[in-house]
Amino acid sequence: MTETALDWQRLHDLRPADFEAAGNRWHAVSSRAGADALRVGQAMSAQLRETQRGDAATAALRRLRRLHRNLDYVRTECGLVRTTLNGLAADLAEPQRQLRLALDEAAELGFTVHPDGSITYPASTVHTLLGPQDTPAGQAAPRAALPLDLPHSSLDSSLRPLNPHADRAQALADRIARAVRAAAEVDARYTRTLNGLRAAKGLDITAATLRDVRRDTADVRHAASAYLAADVPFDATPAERKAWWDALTDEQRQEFLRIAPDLVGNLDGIPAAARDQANRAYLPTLIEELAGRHDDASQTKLEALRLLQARLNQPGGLPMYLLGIGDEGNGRAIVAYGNPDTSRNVAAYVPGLGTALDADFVEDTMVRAEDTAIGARDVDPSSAAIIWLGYDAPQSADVMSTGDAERGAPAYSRFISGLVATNEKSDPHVTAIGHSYGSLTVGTAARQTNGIPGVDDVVLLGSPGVGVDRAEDLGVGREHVFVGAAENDPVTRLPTKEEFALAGPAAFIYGDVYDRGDDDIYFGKDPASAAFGAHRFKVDPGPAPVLEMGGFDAHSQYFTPSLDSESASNIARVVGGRPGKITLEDRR
Amino acid sequence: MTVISPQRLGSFLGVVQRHWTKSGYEITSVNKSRDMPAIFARSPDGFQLALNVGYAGQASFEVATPCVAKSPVDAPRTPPNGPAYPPGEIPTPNVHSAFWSAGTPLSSPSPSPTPPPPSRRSTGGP
Repeated sequence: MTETALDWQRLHDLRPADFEAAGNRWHAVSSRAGADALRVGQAMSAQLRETQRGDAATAALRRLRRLHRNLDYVRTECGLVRTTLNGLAADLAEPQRQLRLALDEAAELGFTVHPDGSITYPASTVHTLLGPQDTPAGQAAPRAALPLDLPHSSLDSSLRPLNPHADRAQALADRIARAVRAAAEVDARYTRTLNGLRAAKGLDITAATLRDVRRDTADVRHAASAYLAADVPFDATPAERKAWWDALTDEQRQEFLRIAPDLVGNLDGIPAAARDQANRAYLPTLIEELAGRHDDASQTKLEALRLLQARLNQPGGLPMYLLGIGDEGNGRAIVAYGNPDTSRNVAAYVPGLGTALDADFVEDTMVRAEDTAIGARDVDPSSAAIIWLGYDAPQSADVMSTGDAERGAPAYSRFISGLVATNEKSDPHVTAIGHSYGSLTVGTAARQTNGIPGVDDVVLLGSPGVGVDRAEDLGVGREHVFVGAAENDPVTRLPTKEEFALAGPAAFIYGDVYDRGDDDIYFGKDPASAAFGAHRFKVDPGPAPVLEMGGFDAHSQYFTPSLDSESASNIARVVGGRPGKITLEDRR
Repeated sequence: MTVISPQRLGSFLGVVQRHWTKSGYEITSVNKSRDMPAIFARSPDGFQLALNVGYAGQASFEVATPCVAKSPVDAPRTPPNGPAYPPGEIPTPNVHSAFWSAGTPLSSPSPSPTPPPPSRRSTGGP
């Protein structure tokens, strides 16, 4: 900001609004460049491509592309300057306020504040044991260190001036110095950021320049994050957040999406298209961050995110919306196939046992949601399906307890509330799908809130129990609970914890001894049992775990038309809003 | 995307089912829903077949191979003999056929799907 040192006079006279006004002018340039980039990119190139052939047209196209890149660069960088200036104005306001308070007090007491920050106080008369005594006027200079840092000996009463004004003057001088120091720190921080935003001379936007854009964005974010985060209603309900988002101006929204995408990308209640834009902007940053860490867990997530990024950029297929991304715990990823805000039918699938943000997740688990979306769109074209990895699932059966489900359930309910808040249909049809341990997470969410608000139908697949003993306890009515349980799926046959403790693995075989009729499994009543009372739809039995060496294969094919077309078709019909058209199977 | 009239939908499924049975495929399940029926079958060598009727009478075939080792596969080089739609964006039936779209039932005895194997129950829905 300045080349001369900052003193209190300058801080006092500073007008933060000037920075904001300057920011608005940068913003105007940014907007113009953005609009021009769009026009160049779309209108002109499209016309050239369609009507012209030959070298001249190719050369013109190449130059247009360069122009487009330049304009886009101008748009981004000018936008960053503006955000930086806004952050500077916001962060300088507090020290300025502190300074003005101190100056007002000094004036009231009749003190004089000098340009160097020292304060002169007048003479006064004090009453001592020896009678009234005149004390001389004096001067207090701001101390270099904070008062708390001073050694006690310096506060020795015998050395202190008798004039009571002296202490007050000293305190005020210190406060003024602190305010100026704080402002100088803010100033230095933003100066660094603004200096970083200088472009190299010339017209070429190279790969290196584009890397700069990302680094610049990170720098501005670092400087201005507090100023942006202060406005985000983290503690509000999804519906309130939606109202907040809608009330922002378009430029404010763009500021969040570009500069602080991780603040709003995972925020339930923000519309899907905006979350997608934010998370796609944040993804390269997260990838870069993970690439700098060398532990196995980070490398696993890194591989998954790179595969995910490749899929997001693949042309063709259903439109994908990246609704959440993160590296906490075993990793987070929420991906929608089809726009959940414009679809009449929306399904959100909670994965289970062994799921984490790894290559398998991208290549297998995500594809299940895609298959479900494609299938549901064959039933009703206005359908979308989401894979929701918004919690840490247990990584193997022997560490499985209800804890992960208890932790994941509130997050899942909030996510569903967000979907309902941002969906543009008057009454969207929402299906909660839980596979494996994920069915316990769905069941727990339903139990905690007496039915997940907004959910119409519940689909439970390969379930080890859902924590409630009757379908009606899921809060949607038993007619709206659908269960897929393959005969050879070992997870749906897990003996109860008590059976397991008494007999070990033999409980698989002798389960009936402990529970006559054996409809109790690991986390409660078997959802496929008659006692539970849900619809059990038909699925392929799958390969037998031992005899056909199927292992857990029968546990992993419910969603996949190429492995079990009848199960996939039944799920699609429930999700697509035609649950009356499924095939049923006898309950256990 | 041929329009199959509701009157001839049953005949259509019958034709497919008879062909599959004659080819030695086992019919594993039938969804007898009136407007969204489906037939599922399996070939002796482990291929799974499905005929699924969905939104607006759209009929689709699915064939799944038995498990194979993962290997890179080139995209098919044969151009489709019609428009190539991306998955999920196939239009609803819009091609009229004098035979399949006719609003009258076939006069010959209408071939209806045989019941599924007795070991498992199958109904039109809850």
